[in-house]
Amino acid sequence: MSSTEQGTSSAAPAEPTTAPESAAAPEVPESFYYVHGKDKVVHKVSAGALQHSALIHGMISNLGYTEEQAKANPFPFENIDGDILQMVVDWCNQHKGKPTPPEDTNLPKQKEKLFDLVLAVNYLEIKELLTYCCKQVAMMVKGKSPEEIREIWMIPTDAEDEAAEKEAKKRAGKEAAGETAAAAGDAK
Amino acid sequence: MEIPPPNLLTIAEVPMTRITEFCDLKSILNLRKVCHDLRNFIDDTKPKISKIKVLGFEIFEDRIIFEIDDRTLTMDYKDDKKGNTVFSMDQKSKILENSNFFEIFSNDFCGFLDFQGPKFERIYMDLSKMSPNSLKKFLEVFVENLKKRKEKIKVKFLPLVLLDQEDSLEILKVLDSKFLKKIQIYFENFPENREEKSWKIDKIMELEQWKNLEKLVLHSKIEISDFRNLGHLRKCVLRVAKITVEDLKILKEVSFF
Repeated sequence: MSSTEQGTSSAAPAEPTTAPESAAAPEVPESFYYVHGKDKVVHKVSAGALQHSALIHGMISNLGYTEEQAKANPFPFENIDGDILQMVVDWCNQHKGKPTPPEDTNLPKQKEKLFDLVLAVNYLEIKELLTYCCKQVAMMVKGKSPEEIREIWMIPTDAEDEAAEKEAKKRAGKEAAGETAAAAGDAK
Repeated sequence: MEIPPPNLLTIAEVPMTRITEFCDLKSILNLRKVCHDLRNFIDDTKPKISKIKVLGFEIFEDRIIFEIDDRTLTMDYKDDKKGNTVFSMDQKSKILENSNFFEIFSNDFCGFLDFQGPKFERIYMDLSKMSPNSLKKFLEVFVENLKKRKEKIKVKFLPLVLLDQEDSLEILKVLDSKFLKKIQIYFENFPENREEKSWKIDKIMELEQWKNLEKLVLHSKIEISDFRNLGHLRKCVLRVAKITVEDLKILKEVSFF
């Protein structure tokens, strides 16, 4: 694994302002964890930022890793593209410990990226970000006719879909027949 | 194996449900027409869009106008006289080739009920603008489709514009008699008939839907053969063509006054 560690904004020393209570309380050092996507690029993320993801938060709570163990065992998310994971990490860092605003205008405008982000965020169980993404997809559907929706998302019509299914069945039938013939040949 | 690019159909159920929750009614109606997968998904999950309370139907000789929530959304199904239907919604039109506008509308309406459910506050129907022969054909298609459904339509208030009571009978039969509380009928007189005609509602009175009715408003002159049939109504507004002393006695008996 290439470990191109990417320091993120959360990695920078961003100590809380010295409020009277925090001055009195013993300072707990922030713990960091490591994640990587399909591209194996490792991202260092604080536990505070990762709290947005119910999936990762659950994993962290159960594992109880030390800093060294966490570094040695980055969480692998092979099903998420590197750039999408980067977006997720950035979002978690930006919204660490902050109430999430009602709208988020920084989501990708490209539909493929947005869909990938929806899939990733759903998998990582990041509720607020999922809400923003779903709102954005709903906005992309708004005012579009069925034909326009089909065209934008390359969805086949029912007739095209049925034709493709028939074709696939026919192909599968032929392949199965071919295999049976080959097996019969082998038996001889 | 080739993995298809991500699209609406590859999104998992949880986010897809969230997406439909953020869609307005027009988007949901359009998404249902994209493909059978989306249609089935919407009909199964029944998105929580704002509940529709009022429906309206204006049936003309060559078109049907379907209005939702007092014209918040209007769908127009028009026969182009060449065997096609022109469907319009939200200033967008589409030609559905080789189709009958009755059938297209009836199927769309059943699809609408699939995700919206059968419960409404008011359904307004104007059946007076279509010729009796065409109306008979339309009702055959429309009512037949509704009869196939598991649940009857649950509506509280039914305002109707009719040429004849016969036209309403089949419609009334597909309504849940336990829910229908108020009927309002206006009988349309042909302009060539200068004299005010009196109308009968005796066949409507025989229906189960009549027996559970609480309020009746009739804007036309009505012939009532047996005033006992009005006895169960809590409120009744009508003009009668003829009333005798005996009828008045009956009305007194059934505590109408």
